Amino acid sequence: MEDLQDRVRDALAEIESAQRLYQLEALRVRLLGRKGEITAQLKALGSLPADERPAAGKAVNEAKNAISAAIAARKQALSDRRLDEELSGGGIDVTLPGRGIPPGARHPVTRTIRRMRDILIGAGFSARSGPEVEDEFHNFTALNMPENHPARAMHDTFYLPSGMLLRTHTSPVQIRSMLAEGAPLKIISLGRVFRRDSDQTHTPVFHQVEGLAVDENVSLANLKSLLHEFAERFFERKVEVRFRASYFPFTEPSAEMDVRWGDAGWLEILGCGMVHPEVLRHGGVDPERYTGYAFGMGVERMAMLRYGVGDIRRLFENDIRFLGQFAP
Amino acid sequence: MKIDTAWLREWCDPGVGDEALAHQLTMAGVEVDDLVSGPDGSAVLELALTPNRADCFSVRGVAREVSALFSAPLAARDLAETPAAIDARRELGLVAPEACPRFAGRVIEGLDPAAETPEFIKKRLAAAGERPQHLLVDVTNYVMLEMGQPMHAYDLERLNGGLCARWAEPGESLTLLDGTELKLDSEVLVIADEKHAVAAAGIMGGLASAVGEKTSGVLLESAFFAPGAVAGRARRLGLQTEASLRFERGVDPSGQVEAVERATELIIAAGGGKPGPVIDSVSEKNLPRRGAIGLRRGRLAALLGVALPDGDVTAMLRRLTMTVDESEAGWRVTPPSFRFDLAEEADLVEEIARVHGYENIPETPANWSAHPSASTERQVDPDRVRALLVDRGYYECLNYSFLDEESHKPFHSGEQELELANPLSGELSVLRRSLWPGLLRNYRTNRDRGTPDARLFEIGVCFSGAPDDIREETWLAGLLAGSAMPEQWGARRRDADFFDARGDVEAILALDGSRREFDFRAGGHPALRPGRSVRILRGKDEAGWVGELHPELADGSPAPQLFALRLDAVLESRAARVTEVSRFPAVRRDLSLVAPPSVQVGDLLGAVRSQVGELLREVIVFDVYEDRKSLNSDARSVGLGLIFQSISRTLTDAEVDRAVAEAVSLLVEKFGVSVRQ
Repeated sequence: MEDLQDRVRDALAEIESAQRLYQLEALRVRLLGRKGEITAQLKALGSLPADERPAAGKAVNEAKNAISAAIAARKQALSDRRLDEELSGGGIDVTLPGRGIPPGARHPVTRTIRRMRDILIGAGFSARSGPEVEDEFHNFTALNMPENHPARAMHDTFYLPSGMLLRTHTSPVQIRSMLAEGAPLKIISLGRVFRRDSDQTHTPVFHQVEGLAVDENVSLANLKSLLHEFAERFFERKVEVRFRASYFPFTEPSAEMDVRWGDAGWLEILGCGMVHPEVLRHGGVDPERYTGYAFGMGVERMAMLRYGVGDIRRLFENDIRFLGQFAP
Repeated sequence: MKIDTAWLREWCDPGVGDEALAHQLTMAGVEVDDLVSGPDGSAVLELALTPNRADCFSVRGVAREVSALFSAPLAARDLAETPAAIDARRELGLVAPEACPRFAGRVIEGLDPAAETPEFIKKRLAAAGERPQHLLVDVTNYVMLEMGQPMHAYDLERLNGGLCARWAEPGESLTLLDGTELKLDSEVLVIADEKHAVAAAGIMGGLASAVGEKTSGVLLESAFFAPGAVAGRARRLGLQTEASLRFERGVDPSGQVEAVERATELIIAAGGGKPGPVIDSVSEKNLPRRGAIGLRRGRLAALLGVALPDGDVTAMLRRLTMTVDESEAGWRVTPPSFRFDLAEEADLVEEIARVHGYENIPETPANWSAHPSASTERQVDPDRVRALLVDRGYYECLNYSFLDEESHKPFHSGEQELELANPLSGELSVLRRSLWPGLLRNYRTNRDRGTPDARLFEIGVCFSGAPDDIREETWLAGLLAGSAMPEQWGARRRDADFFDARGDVEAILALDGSRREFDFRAGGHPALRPGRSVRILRGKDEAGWVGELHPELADGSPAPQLFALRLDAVLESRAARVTEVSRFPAVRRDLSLVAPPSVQVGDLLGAVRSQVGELLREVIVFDVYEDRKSLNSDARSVGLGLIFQSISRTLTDAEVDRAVAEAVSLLVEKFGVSVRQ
């Protein structure tokens, strides 16, 4: 019996090392064929004494099964390998690059506008737009900045010979929307604005996103909650914010929101506040019944922070090597 | 404005370090831009004051704020009243009391003309960024920095009699201290003696009456000018001064005499001299009055989103030196005379918010009812257009809305330029009527920087109409230049051409699900090459153009392809209404035609479609071939694949053959084509 076990071990090793299907077939014939070694042992069982036969027969059958299974498994492995070899021999160089036109890229500013819009629409706001050429009433007077108001000096304004002007913020859209739709109202206005200014942090054209919520019982606490959450959604991380008292003619109380920005300390990202009652009146909304909050931010500034752009003018050069760094 | 903290601490000591002081002021809306080291080692606060806080334009003003924020007492500083030693006086008249309701002053004679400005004044002026000049000028500047009241010192001998504040006469002129020659008009308030204007009121004094090395007698001016009488004038005259900055935002109308006394004290201590009596001309009825403002408990809580204890509110208001009476609904509050920014309830709410601290107001999510948001199929989302172009290899650009007239001119049909009245430069002086000049500039910049293959687009507002009637429309424009595909091993290089551009345009037009509503008609635009451009129409409305840049505008290099689409026309859409899809087999017949050179393929397609009618599902142009040799003429070979299918039955060969034959005979008859065998 020891002898049989040795034979089986040797046979399995030979099967495992067979590299070709014909070698395997030769092994099968030698071991299991009509005149094969295992077959011979089966035939020899008859010559054994009757009391030894069952045990010997069992051992020989097990040996036969083990060898058959090993041959079948090896055969499968060899034919799989042969198919692989045949197909890969079919001859293309898969390391060559693909054919066609790769995608371009969206501008980081419109990309940022879209993200801000999506975040705020998710919070229940709807988007509105308005003209870029505005009149004094909608751009200044209705926003509580009458003629000669010192705050007008903060807006270096482009004028047209007709007395119209290029809007200095998207806030006129708030007035237009209140007049057209009344309260309650939850809108965002997105678009181009213009100031007569040009240096490393200012371009004469830039973009703003503003929000306005007018309803019964809209509070500063609601505004803080929304803007903190907005900042975290925008930067996609926990953000530490602080609200500082500030001044805008169209909000009272007014605040600016800063975010903590690593080594740079606190960076201002937006202005906000409770809508000034005079502005609600200009919008045809009863300030006794309704309160409102408003906020506004510069899109370029947010994009620069998000994407690490150091000079705002890069955003208007439209160099493909710059644009190509943004996802399509 | 710069404030020496040592000086500030003489007025009010908050009991905290400079950093903490700067932080608290910033949080409360008196923004400290920077904390720097001053000339004598003490820290200097650089304040970025907002226009509402004129009251903080002085050491005393900031000290009041510090007192309120830190609950620290204001130093009791009794101003010494210097009694008159002589009877010298000048008349100070109120000719325009609505503009100047208070005009105080004093004569001081017998001054030592050689007296030096004391060191402490020089240092503090230097810390504030002021250059020491002359004792009398330095003292008036010092008093302004300390008390917030701008003053002026006139050389008594160079004045003709008394002074008054009046509106300037048209044509009157005045030479200012800095040499500026002003032509005045009746909008400008002046201080005048009996003969001439001697100062632009609240802005700057005149040169002729200025104090100098020989001055031994002085007339001090300490006036209150109504903000409305000063606002805007300095900016218009290009002369913003420390004085105008304060007057146009509002100076305390009760502080004029105090300032005269303070200046007297400092002048006499340094330069001797004998003062006359203080003169104080007042028109009480024209002084600004601070009425009581109601502050409702409920309103305060509603605006802030948190209810504060009554006692806290009262205490905060009193710390801000308001006069407070508690009432049933809340409080009756009278602001102090120096707070020009407090006029209504909301202003008081802000005062409470900032003294309480914005950081102490909770963050409470709004409790809005949930309305489903809009999702429209009546308009294609402009971002869908962006995505399509970007996926086809385009880079999105953003250009300014204004440019120079020269590069703009070829892109409109001679319309009047929409000029800015005050452009930044000639390069940025007219409003754009087209997005193409911007994209062309972007293309050339990229080409010059080594990126000659460009697919660029921009979506933005273009302006039209006339200067007094400007209209706005949002356009989408694109530019293709250089190679049709990036250089690669698997495709032969060729230049992008009209049909690449048109293919992109057709893909955009297909976004609305109704491509057939657009017509392409030859001809079009002054900036495009005739014969290689088309107008796009939706119904009768111009929807845009696509074509090759006119060679005259192409600066020597191969001309880029351009397209422009009026976004409204392109985005208008509607929800699809499906029609049944045929379950019967389609039959295809190919026609090889030879068409005379004048025949356009688009006309052939139109004729085939209208001739065959509803059995024709589709026509494919599978080949266009121009070859003088094989065709032996200028004619073109055109291959059309006609695909027939019925919704209700299987078509027979016979009826398809008949339809093809009818179509062919129409084409032969109408366009002179022949069928190639």
